[in-house]
Amino acid sequence: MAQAKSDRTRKPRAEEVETCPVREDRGGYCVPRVDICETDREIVVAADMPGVERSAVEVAIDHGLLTLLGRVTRKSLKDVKQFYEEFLPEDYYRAFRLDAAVDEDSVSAEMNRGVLTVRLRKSGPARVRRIEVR
Amino acid sequence: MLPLWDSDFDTLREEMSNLFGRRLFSRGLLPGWFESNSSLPRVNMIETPETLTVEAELPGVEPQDLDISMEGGELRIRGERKAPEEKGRVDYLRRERSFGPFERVIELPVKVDVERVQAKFSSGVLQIVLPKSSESRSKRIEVKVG
Repeated sequence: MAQAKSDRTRKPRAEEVETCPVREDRGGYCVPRVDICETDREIVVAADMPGVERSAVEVAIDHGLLTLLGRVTRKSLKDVKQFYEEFLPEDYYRAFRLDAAVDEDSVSAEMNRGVLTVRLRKSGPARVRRIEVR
Repeated sequence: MLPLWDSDFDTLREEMSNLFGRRLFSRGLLPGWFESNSSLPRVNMIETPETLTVEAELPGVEPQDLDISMEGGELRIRGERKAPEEKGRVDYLRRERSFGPFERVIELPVKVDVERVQAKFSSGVLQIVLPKSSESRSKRIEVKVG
């Protein structure tokens, strides 16, 4: 008997990829806070990357692997006497494996006020398809 | 360079908080935290011979939702981060960012010249440069030999 599987039972998942590119010059990357949500038509990934300008962002999607990279340009001050730092001028990096069927050609990214927003259009049908059982 | 694995780590930590005076973050930390629903943005404070520079991480905050004021030697950074609106049905797969009101009060360790304070806000980072007032700046003291 054929199993009819509706789209709704299969929720898209966005799994974090543990690997992180190794950096020679510095210890590692800063992990940006990320929200991922799903609307009727899109998967929206929003990452907080304060200190990153529009030109310093790299977004790539390859067979469901979404990588986000943001480079921080910080000028160091001269003659620093004392300092107290709660956040460091580190570059941001995070990667996710998206389980949903997305149209990788439709990816758009926007960088505004230190927030990177990536939108991916879902390639499957947006609504549940009712399958008639004979 | 002090090794961080030293058993004197507590001494090092105490020295760090003594650098700017322990009272520096007294208002910005626990008391304020419990009094309101505001979140605490992370800040940096850098001192040079001429200036104090305060930086705050405020991604996604619009300039009109940000309020910076100075009173009685305290710098107050306050505002609200509004959540972006998505149209239609929204399901969250991951939610890590926080929104809503924020506030941080920093007691400045030295006197600054309020008239010459400059603030710049770009790419979600607020940078406030506070020039030290003339009596706060380091002065070379000439030693008369005689």
